[in-house]
Amino acid sequence: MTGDFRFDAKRLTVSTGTQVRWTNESEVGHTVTAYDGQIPSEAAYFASGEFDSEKAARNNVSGGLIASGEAYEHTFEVTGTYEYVCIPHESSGMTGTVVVK
Amino acid sequence: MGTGRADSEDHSHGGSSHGNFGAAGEYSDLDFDPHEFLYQFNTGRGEQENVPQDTYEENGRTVREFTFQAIDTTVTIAPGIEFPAWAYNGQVPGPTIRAVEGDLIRVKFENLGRHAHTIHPHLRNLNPEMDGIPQNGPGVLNTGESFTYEWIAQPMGVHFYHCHSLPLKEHIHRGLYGAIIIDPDPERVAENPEEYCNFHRSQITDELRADLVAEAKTRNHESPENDEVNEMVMVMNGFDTNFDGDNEVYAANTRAFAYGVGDTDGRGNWKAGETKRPIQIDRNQRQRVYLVNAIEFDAINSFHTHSQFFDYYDHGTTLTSTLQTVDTVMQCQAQRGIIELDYSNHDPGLYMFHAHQSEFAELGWMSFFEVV
Ligand SMILES: [Cu+2]
Ligand SMILES: [Cu+2]
Repeated sequence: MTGDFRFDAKRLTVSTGTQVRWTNESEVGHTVTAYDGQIPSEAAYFASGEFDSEKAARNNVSGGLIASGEAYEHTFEVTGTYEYVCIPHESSGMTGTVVVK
Repeated sequence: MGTGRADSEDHSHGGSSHGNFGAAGEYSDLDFDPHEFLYQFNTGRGEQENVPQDTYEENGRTVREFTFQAIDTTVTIAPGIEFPAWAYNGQVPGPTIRAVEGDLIRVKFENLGRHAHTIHPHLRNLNPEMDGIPQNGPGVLNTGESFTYEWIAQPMGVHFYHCHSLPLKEHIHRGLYGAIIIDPDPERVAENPEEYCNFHRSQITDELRADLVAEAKTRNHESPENDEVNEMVMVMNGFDTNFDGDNEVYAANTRAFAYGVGDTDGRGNWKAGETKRPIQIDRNQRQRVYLVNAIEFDAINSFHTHSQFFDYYDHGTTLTSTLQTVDTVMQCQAQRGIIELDYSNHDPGLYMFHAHQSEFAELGWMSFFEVV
């Protein structure tokens, strides 16, 4: 997460079992929130703030914020494509993709 | 996607091409439901999950406290069409706030979005620091900044709130607006009836006073008389999807044709859709619409009912109507009012209502009541 409201890298390809770590290098809070229905069906839902659905994450934006300098980690066990978003900056284009091979 | 065009490609078969306008298909994004939004009044009792709120007594006043967060979010405005919005608590229109006159409305506002925002209320606000403009109080709030606005709930009526950052046009049309409803206090109406009608105190008869108090009770959500009225909020809005300074999609409550029909053959037959369906109303119940115009770029908006006339209360700040027996009202931006409808003499069935700018109607602001 960088100062210009985007995920770096926007698209990341990893192998199964990889732990991905998002570090907030900007001055403002961001979230990492998986889109319901846009992750492999067998994969566990993931979101900063440990919500179990996108709706729960959207109902508590503050609870998912990663503060400046902090990080969020998630380990990807299932192959496929995962789409995720920073809830407060969605329409500013702050979305990302993880591809697990 | 065919917003505003005839659905049929074959013009030789009359009926459908001339009788069937509207967006093709149903809405698949169910995060926002305009049918639910009609009836979502946040009074501090936790009516909406995405609006943290509380109500309590403080210094002899009822406080209604809400947490508002501005975010950059994507909203669906027609089937398959998304709009990059800026929104209070992720929804457009923003959450409806409801209080009783004299209450304190406390809004803990945090801006999480990328751009600087405020909340400016159209209320009689005695403290300039609380006006939510760049030149006063905390000014604009940058990303991550917070401020707690406090507004006395006055006057009675249906009011408007919106972001007042510059450029104002953009901050409003992106979606930072909503309705504030201030219910009358019937005891205060009994004591100061002249403030609620167009008569001088010397002209107030006991009968008029009793009528005003009775009407006030129907408007006060804490009175049992209010339960008899079916109340709906409609915020008329539009969306400039290509950022050319003109709206491409119009609606009452954001989603084009959401109160339309799912399907029609243009020969008098129709079907309700999952997400596009008329507002069902009980003909024996009084119907009240809190109408607010948030439209940007177009000078006016309007509300027109088919086969029906209504009484209108401009700004909702009186308990006697300001227009009687009309079927069309117009509003400039930020204007609002209360519409009182009575369908008890109408046969059950479909009754259209829409903006009477045909362009707006064909691009989404076209709706129906299904009287049952
Ligand atoms: Cu972000
Ligand atoms: Cu703004």
